[in-house]
Amino acid sequence: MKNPILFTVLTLACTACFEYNPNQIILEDDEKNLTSKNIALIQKKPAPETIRFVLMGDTQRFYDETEDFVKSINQYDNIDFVIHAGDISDFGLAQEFQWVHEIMSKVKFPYLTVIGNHDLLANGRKVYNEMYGALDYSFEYGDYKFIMLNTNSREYEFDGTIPDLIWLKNQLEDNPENKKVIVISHIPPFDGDFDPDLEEAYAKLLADDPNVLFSLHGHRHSFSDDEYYDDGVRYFVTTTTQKGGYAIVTLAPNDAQIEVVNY
Amino acid sequence: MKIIAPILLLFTSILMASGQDLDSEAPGKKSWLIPDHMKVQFAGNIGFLSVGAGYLHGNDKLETDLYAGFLPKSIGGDHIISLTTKMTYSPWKFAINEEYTVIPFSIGPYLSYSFGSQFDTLLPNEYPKGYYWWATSLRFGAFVGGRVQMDLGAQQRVKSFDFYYELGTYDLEFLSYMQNQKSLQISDIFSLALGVKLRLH
Repeated sequence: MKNPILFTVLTLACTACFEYNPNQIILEDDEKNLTSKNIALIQKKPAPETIRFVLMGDTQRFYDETEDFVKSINQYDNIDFVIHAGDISDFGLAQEFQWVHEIMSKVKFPYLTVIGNHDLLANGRKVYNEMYGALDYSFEYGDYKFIMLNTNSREYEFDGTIPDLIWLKNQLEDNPENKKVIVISHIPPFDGDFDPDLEEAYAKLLADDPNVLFSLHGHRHSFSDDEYYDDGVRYFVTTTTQKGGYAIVTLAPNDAQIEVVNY
Repeated sequence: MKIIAPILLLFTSILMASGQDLDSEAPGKKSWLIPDHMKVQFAGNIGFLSVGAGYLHGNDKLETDLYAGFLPKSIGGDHIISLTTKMTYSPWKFAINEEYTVIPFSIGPYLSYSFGSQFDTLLPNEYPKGYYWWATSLRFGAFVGGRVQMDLGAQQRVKSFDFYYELGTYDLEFLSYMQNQKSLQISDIFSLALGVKLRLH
C-alpha cells in the first residue's frame, strides 16, 4: 500500500466490514458476559419492597418490532429489569445476537435472558455462552430467587439431559432463606418441544416446593396463563415482540401479579 | 456428508491437474481439467482465507470457481472449514494500456458449505417436517464487485494478476434486512471481500 494514511483509514473503517463466515463469533468486549454484568447492575440497586420486571421474548428476526418494544417499555420508570424468554436469534448467528443486543441496550433497564431453541442452532450455543454466559443460572434479588433454565429438549434429541432437573433440584434446595422462587425458561413443560419424559418430574419438583410462585416461558408466540397442573404453580407464557406484547410481573410483599401489555 | 464427497473429489482432481508440469503439455492440448485460473480471497463469508480454482467460459465473461476456505479460531471464534462454488459474470472490459485492464463490474451468486457437526444440511430426525426451513451448513449468497487486471505477458506461466473486490451478502442476512428496513441498514448486511486471481498459462 503506497499511501500509509489511506491504508490506516481504510483499515479502521473496515474492521467491521469484513466477514469471514456467517458462523463466526467475533464479539466486542461490551458484548461479552452480559449475564453476570447485568446481574451485577440489577443487584447494585437495593431491592425495592415491590419488585417489578418485564417478561418478553422471541425477538427472532423481528428487529423493527423489537425497537417498538423498547419504545413501549422505556415509558416506564418503575421497572427493575427485563427478562428475555429466549429465541433471541432466529438462525443462531452471532450477527443476529449482536443486532438484538444493540436494540436491547437501548432499554433503560438491565436485561437478562434464557436460551431458546433457535439460539442453539449452528454456532448459537457458543455465541450464547460467550455473549451471555451459562445456559442454566440463578440469581437472587430481594426476597426472590430466579432460576433460569435451558428447556430446549428437542435441540438435544430428547436425550433426557435437558432440562437438567438435577441442577434444578439443587437450586430449589439451595434456598436457606426460603426466598420465593420464580423459574424461567423458554419452552413450557406442556409444549411438544419439552422432553415428554421429564414433564411430570419438572412439574412435581416445582409443586413440591412451597416457595415456587411461577414458571415463566416464551416460545409459543402467544400469551397463556394457567395453573396448568392444578398444583398451585402458575404457568405463564409471554408472546413474541412480533405481536407487540409483553408481561409485567409485580412482586409485592404479599401479592404477586402478572399483567399483560399490548402496545 | 454424502453430497460433499464428490465435490471434494472434483476439487482434488482440479488441484492435481493444475499441479502437473506445464512444460510437458503440448501447446493447444491442455486438459480440460486444468483450471484457467487460481484465486486467493480474503473474507467474503467463505473463510478468512480461501483458495480457489476455476474456469473461464461464456464468451470469456463467466468464471466458475471452487474455493476451499478456512477460518482459524483465533480470528473467528471458531475453527471453520468451508467449500464454496461461485460464479462471476463480468460483462465489460476496458484496456487502459498494454499492461492494465479494468473490469469495472462483476456480479454473481455463490453457495457455501461449512463443515462441522453443529451444522446440518438435512433436518435431523428429531424434528417434525418443516420445523426449521433452512440448512445451517449451506449459505446462498451474492455479490457485486470489480477488478483490475495486470498483464505479465502471454508467455509467462502466470499470464496476469487480477486484484478484485466484492461486496456480498447472503440469504439469511438479506432476508433479515428485507423484513426490518427500519432498524437495519443495507450496510449492515453487506461485507467486503478482497482477492487476487492468477490467470494461468
